[in-house]
Amino acid sequence: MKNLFILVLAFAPTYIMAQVTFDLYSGMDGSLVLENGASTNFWGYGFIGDEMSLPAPFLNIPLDSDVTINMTNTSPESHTIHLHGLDVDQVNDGVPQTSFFIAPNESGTYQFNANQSGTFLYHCHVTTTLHLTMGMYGMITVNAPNNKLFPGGPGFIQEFKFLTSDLDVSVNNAPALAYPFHTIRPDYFMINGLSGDQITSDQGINTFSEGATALRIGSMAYSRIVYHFPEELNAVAHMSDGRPIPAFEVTELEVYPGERFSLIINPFIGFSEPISVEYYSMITGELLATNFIPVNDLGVNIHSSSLSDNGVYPNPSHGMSRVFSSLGGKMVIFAPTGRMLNVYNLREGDNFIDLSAFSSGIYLMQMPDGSTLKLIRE
Amino acid sequence: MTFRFLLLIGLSCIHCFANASNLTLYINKGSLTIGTSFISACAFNADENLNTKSEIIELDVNEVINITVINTDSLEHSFTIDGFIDSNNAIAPFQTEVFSVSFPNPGTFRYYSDKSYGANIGASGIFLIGFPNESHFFWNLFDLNKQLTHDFANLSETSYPADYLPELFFISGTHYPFTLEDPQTKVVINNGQSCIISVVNSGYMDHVLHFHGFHVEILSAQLAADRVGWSKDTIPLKKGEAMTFRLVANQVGIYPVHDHNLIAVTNAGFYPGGMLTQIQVLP
Repeated sequence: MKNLFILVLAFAPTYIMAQVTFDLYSGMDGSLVLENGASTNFWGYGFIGDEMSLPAPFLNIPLDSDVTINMTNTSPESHTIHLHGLDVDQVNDGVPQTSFFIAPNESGTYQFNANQSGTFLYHCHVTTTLHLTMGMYGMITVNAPNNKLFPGGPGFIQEFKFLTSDLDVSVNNAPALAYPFHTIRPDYFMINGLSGDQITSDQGINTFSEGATALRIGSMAYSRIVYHFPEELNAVAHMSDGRPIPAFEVTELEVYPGERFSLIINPFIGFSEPISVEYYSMITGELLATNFIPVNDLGVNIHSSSLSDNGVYPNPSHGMSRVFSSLGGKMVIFAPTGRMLNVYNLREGDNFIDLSAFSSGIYLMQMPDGSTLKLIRE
Repeated sequence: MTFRFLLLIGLSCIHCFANASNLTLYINKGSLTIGTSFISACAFNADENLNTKSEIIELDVNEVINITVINTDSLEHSFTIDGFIDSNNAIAPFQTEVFSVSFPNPGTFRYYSDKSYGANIGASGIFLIGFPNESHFFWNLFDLNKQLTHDFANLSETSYPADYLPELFFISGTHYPFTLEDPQTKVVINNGQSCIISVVNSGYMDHVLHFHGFHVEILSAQLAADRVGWSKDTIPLKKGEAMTFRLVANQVGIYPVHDHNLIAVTNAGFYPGGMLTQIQVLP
């Protein structure tokens, strides 16, 4: 049973301080169905009353919450929860040598204040080299109010979370024979516990023209991950490791073991092309595998009443934009001062124009039918 | 002894009276035991005794240093600093060369020998420039295979094989738990203070450091310069990278720092080990 309750402790004009509790258990008897239909063992966490999963349940926490994680160890070995990136104090850090471990058939509690929004991870820190390849990890997101990546940051209407990981099937089949640990070599590569053809459009991204989509990316892999975002996705990275970074457009993003990024995407209307996710050996640099995240933009109708038969997408623009015009003819772009900057010949319907030469700011687009659109160039 | 004034960069007016200093480094090569592991090694040391921890050189911005490098080895070596002293220089066997260098900006830089087996068996060290008002710590990352160090040393191998199997993972010439015995590796700091951590990746692999308990600010990076100013808890260091971090201690306790490529927190397969050290924040 998923046990998540929020107790409002105090109201303030600008925020709500909440108390969030999760009741998890750890186990070592999971069975993961691989892409080829075979099964292997995994160790992991689950909400009490639910099936254990790989990856472990993703935990969602409102910013500024006081968080309690109760963990009951139902397995025959000790485990912990390390709150990766949350900068908790020593006793709650989940490292058995400096914090505490939870012995078989015992329970423990971790507590912290989630005072930084962003994307984080959690994992077992007992014999970490083995327990991670066995699957004991999940993602934590600390959510800023009003669907912002961080207070004052970019907004979004929906979000998707992708946790890359890998495992060495021979180790998971026989973990007692895993020593020596430095020879662990991943040969099965996952996104949210799925691989290859297991990743269908149901696990992919559907976007809409009504607003931006946030991607929260983290890696618990032994491999170096490289995401390839098609240019038409207009992907912009805004955060790494739970902290804002100078925003930058990104078509290729490396994610090393333990790293996290938060991005905003604004794909072209009707865009349908996967994000490719490559796994490289940390030792040799060899490409080991590629998975694909389907992306489908469902907001194909920019020709809507709210756009007065004309439209530009995405808006704000990061360079290439799609312009829908109800008439063929000239479109003129003006600076806010009224100075004419450029003229484009549009055909009726869809047009693709490159706005990358324009600096950041607000522009006016006079369409062939005489109407005016406001364009924001980021 | 010849004198080479290879590159003197950026004596700005602000530092036109910067100090000049002198240093002698010995390139030593031999075999020794780290923990229980017998390896071959080469290093830049302060005397003729081989030590796997190459010397750390701290300078002010624009300070000129004259470095006398004495090659005690029977093979040629170099004294290379990417962007400052290129690898065309050569220090012949049992010969001495003098190099002068200064750095116009604060940050961490790596020096190494890229001749013979030099850097492949550990001849690689750290320059830290600037940050005079904070305490300094140093992590020189290195991965190795024991047999391969011997093969490099006896010249039966001259490059890393495709099936390279790293089995020991060093911070500044040793591995956990011995990393906790080096006061330049284990970070000990008072709560409320900040410190500078100077890191180079002298190994063959990329490494990725994860800080428990803290984010650190990236102050300089030779390869990932676009990440300067970022605040992170998990930081990739590609092969050859040199980075400077600032850590602000804001909570008391003991917090690990380790490679999050988890094969690298082992010693020949045993966990815990390898690239693992600690930050201890005192009340």
